[in-house]
Amino acid sequence: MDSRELETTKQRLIQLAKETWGNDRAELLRPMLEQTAEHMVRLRASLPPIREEPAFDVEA
Amino acid sequence: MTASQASAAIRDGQLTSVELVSSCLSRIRELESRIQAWVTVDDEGALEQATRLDIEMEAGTTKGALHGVPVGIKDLYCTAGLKTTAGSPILADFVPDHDAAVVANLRRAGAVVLGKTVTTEWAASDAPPTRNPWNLAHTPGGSSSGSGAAVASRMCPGATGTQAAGSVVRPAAYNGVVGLKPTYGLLDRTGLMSHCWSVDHPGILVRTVEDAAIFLEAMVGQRPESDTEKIRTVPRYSDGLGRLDEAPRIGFMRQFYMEAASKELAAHVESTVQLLASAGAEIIDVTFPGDPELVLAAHWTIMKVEFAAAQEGLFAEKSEMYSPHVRGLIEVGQLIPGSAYVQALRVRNRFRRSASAAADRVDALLAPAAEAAPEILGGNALAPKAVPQTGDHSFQMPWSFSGLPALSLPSGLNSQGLPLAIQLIGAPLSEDLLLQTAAWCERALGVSLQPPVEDLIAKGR
Repeated sequence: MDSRELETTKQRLIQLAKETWGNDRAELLRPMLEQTAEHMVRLRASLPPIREEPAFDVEA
Repeated sequence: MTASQASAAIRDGQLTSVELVSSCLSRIRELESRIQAWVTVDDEGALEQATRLDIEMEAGTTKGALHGVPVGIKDLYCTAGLKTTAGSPILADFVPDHDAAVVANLRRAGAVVLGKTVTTEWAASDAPPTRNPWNLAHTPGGSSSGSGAAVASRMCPGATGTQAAGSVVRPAAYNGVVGLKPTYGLLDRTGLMSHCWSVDHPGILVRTVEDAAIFLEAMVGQRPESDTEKIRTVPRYSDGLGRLDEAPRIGFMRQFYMEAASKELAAHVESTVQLLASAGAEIIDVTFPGDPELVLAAHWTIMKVEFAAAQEGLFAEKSEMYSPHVRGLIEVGQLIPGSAYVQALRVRNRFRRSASAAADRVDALLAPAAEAAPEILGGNALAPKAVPQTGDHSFQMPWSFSGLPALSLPSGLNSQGLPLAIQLIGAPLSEDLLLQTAAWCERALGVSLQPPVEDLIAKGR
């Protein structure tokens, strides 16, 4: 996992949480936000380009 | 008495439904103050239903395979005239005017609704009031906490559960009962309080594989409107349980599972697999059909986004009425970008294909059902990478994520006397083969667990 990308994603998510839910809530949510950022970066890093999946099926 | 034994005794006139329901109610009275498995016990309503069913039986009419058998309904399913809270103070007084489809099907099969079993709040992972009947200091798992504890402590022969991450398989494992999460879409979710639409599965907690088959038949009911042939024409699962002509071919997934399992559990599962092999099963090593970390990341992403979407309206008005952890899940879910959700769906499509292919090559895949025996209650659900208060979801999540059917089978006790279990996973809509394989394993292992609740009863007197 790219550590710089991870740090940037964490900071963006925490900033968004501050703007949406306020500083206090964002601080309480920090562990969950950091875990979510890790998941987002892992998803981005692990998939092939979208051009390899032209017939993407979005059904449940 | 198991559900199939009770049903046979009622059919043969050796037992009435009123006698059986009264016996369950008496057991609940003896144990409920310690175990706290129920939100609502409908004494009067259950006895009325049982009386009606006994009259029908005397007149020579039977409704179905569960005629007169009492069941617990997880408090996430709507029940007509009976409070349905989803474990939330917001719905503390909500009384639906209709039954969820699965509940209606159970009633059509003759089941008596005994009451509503405890769910964690909105089926998330905050600790429930329910205790594990094997040791009251330990978690019963969740979110189908009450159903697992009630079935294990013989308060009822069977109960419904639901699973979006691990909420049927894990409480079944922790309480030493059989848990079945069928294929996504096999059971009608109408009237089920939605948690996460694309991973919500109705499920079953019972004491034997045979009971799981009987409950599944009843809960599927008739679905002539389904687009899927295998759902329109479900087999009689219970008829085929003894039909495996040869010992099954089982794919043992050591990778991921055995690395993450507790030492004691890993050793136990290895010896359980040896027992199955000695009984004739063909055991082959199977690689986990994907990247486990990616699967878990994608599943968490889907769950948080869908949960936030499902709760959006209510949360906007009553955010203060959510517990801290559930509130956090919704707040974080609302911040996840749509692009991450779509990438998670892409991961799921790929994993579903590879998992289905792996399951197709064997009669069932096998892995530990949970990462360890049930933990002592406590912990902080908002802590970094905290183990959720109802146990770790990661061993069950891949099969909720992919929609493949999974069954938890009790396999023994650990050194502290707490239940351990294996899980068997089948190909999509192959519940008949999964149940046949599970029944074969159940016979080969010969494990039937009963928690030492007689001590609790004695102390309560």
